[in-house]
Amino acid sequence: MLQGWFILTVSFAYVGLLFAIAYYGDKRATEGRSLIANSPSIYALSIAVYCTSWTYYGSVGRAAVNGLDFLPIYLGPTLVFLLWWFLLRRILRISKANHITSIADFISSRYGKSTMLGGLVTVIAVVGILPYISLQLKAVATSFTVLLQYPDVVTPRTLPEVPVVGDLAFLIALLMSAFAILFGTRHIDASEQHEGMVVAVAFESLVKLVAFVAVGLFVTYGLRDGFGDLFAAAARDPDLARLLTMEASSGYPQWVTMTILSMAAILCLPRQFQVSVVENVNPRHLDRAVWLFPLYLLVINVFVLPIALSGLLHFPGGQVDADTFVLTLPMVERQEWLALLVFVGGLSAATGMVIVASIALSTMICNDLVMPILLRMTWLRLTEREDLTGLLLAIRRGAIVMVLLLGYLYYRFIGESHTLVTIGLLSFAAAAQFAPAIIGGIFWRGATRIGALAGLSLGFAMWIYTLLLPSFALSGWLSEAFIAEGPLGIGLLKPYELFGLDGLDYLSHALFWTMLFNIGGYVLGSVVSRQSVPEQVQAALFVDIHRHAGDQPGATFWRGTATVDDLVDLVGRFVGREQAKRAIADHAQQRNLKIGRNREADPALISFAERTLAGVIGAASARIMLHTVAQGEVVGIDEVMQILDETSQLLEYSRQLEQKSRALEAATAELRAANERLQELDRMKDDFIATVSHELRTPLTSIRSFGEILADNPDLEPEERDRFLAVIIRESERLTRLINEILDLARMEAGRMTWEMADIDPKAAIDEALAATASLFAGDDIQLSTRMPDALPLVHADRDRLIQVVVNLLSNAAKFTRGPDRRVEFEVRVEPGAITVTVADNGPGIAWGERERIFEKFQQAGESPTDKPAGTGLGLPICRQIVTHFGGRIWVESNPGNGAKFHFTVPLAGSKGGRADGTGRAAE
Amino acid sequence: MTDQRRDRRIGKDDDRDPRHESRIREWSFTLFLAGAIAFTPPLMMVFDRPAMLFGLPLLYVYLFALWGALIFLAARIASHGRRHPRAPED
Repeated sequence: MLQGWFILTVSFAYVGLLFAIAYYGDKRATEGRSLIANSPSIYALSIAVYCTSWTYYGSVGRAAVNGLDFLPIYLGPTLVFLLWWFLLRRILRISKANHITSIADFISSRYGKSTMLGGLVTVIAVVGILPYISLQLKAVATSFTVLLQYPDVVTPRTLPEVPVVGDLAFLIALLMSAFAILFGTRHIDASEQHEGMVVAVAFESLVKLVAFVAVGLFVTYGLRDGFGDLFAAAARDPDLARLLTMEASSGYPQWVTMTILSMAAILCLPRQFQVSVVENVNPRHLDRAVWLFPLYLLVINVFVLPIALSGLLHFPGGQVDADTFVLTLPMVERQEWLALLVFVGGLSAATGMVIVASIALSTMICNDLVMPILLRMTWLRLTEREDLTGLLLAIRRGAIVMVLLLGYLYYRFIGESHTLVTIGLLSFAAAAQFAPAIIGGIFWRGATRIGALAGLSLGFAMWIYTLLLPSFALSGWLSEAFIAEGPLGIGLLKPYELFGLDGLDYLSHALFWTMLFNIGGYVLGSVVSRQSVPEQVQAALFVDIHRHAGDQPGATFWRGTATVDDLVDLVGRFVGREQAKRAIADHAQQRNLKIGRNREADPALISFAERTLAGVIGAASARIMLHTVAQGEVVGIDEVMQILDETSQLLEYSRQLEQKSRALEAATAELRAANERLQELDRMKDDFIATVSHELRTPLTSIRSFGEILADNPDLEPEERDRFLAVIIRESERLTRLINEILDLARMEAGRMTWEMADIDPKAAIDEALAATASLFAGDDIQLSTRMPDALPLVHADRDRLIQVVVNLLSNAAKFTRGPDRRVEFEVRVEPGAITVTVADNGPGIAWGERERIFEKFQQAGESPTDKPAGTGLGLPICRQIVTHFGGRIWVESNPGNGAKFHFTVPLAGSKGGRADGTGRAAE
Repeated sequence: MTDQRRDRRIGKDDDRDPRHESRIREWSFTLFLAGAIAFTPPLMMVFDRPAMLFGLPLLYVYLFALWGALIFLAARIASHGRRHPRAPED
């Protein structure tokens, strides 16, 4: 009965049934009575497209050689689904909010809608998935060839090669591309969802499960008396007993490696992303998939080991390829119908994967590789074309055919030489390269486009070197020496022992190097580069999805100018004009907007148009297209950050709060300082009053005493009387001078002094001052030497006050000269912008610590209670007030014991050294 | 599907009582951690011996029983706190 024509008829009938189911699913969807909208189980079953012919045939083959080694491939996805709350749920919400259409779109969107990144992901996906597709074709071809020999059981390798035309793999490839084109690219839809395809894939998942479990039950309960009997028989055979523990496995490192790889694969394989994220119609469905999909995996794996053991018991000595046990066991037991069911189950496992993978890849090739390039070729004028739906469909259909043909060619030329599992792991490792960019992208806000590009390209390069090239070498495309001796005989570059790292199995070795370079490049690249504005916006949208889920993401980030009509035109070119009109009208109605045809679209509407477009042609292309109508720019980063999320606002508030509290602290400190200063001033005022009273009392006391003497003794000698009267007069003068000085100082300090500022000749003023003090020097026998230019430039000052300063300094100097050789030197120099007057004496000098103090009120150098005060103690403070008012500066230089040198400067007339900024400019 | 319908569905995902969300988050992570530890060495090595339990290989029983238990627990918590746990999708 199992003739070639019969098997072919059954195969075609099965594929025909798939077409019918898909057609029905699509029809229900268009009628608005969607099959999947309310069925989380269909969603969970469609995710089971994960189980391909690798699972179906390959797991048994693996179990027959390595025992439990087939399991990590299914434990990994279970672990990821257990962690659904953190990963899948998040990715799902992000993707729904941003209209993500593929994994390339996801990564490109996250890193600022980068076209380059989307293209790179697409290339990696196509190169990485091709072997996987060829694996499915190979499995179908092999199972067909084996079944054709019924009832003989022959190893397929010993059979003559089938010509291409009669090759079932080729036929299947053609049929599958027809299916994918019909149900994957029938029309362009804004959501990129294909309900018919999903229903068909879910149906296929049921078929393969039923078929596989049927074989399992048959070998366990038909051929044996249940599990116990089968395992007992196996345990008796020492060769088989090894398979029941980890003894026969490739070791724990590879076990862990495969777990990690499969964890990455369930998230990152393009077809898994397609069914579990893109095709998801309701995030609530995840609730069921969380346990139903792992349960599916568990059930389909329960019988793997029993079938493998049974096969080994039936065909001792390895005369039958263990990859075909599922099929050959029913055959050798003459179970025709079961064998046929198994074949159909294998067919469904293969076709399900091929359909979804080719649709997912074609979407990526179209949206993230071809369209961005075409849109950038301005001479094509694509952005001005009326209707682009035809072009999109043509590209996608072409991509599907190309992918399947390439898969077929890979199978014909390379795939023959490998086992199913080896090829599958190759693809898993390629898909795993996306994991850092995805997982990092949804948790790490600072990850940048440069980092993702670096990580992906380095990881991909290492994948090519440690996995793909060696697989070419194993197929004879490259010399075997490439593996054994390294390229050009360089031992350090051996692809399985890179840089001398040996002791690991090839898979763990490859995972280590690819991930080291991938994650390393990703992290380093992100740390050293900076995010552009669009990147920061996207990063925030992705990382903080839980805050943005309900609202309209990105609505506020466009500040463009486009009319509503422009947008309808633009969207209409990709989804059809009517549909575009309806969508925009719906959107407006929902937001209670009235839309006139030529009205300017608000940012939310532009964002809506962008997201709708993104659903069709991917985020990167959508942005390019939108730029053609909305001449907008992304708003400034400060604004974005403010608008963007509450966190940054909260952060902003707390930062401000911190700033304020810091400012408050500073103010408190200032206040405390001011308070101290006030107390100090208060003390100084008290001191001042005390000093003033003391200073006033001294002359008053002597005046009063001499006055009393004169009053009490009317008969004093005239000479005596004259002497006392002279004392009274001198002390009165001193008192007057003192009071004048106090008044002067008080006026100056209060700013109430009347200044007669003018451009005056300093020489005349200085000469007058010298003349006024000449008697002082002559009387005390002090030698005054004067050095002054013959003519001095005009200065801006008050003449009388200038004289007062010079007189003050000269009389001070006269008071403090000491010793037999009493000298005072007076000098005037002209300097740029000012004249400098210097008065030097040869007195005791002023100690370092007193050089500032002497300019304070009532402070005299060398003051001690025993010293008789030589002056009022107000001269220098007054000088300082005056000089400072002129815009000059006064200071003293002194070496104790060597006299003191007072300098002061007066700015020249017309120079900038007016009183405004003159205080600090005199030369040190 | 139009954008509005999809947005509403995102909203519908939030019909979960927020008080339960942190419970689910904790459970989700705990189950993952338990699985990750149980399915890898060194804990796996404990059961990696040529012994039989109920006539089945010990390691085989261990892996599948634990796997099943994790799935059971995940099923129990996944729809935890839904206001309409069985509606409307069934």
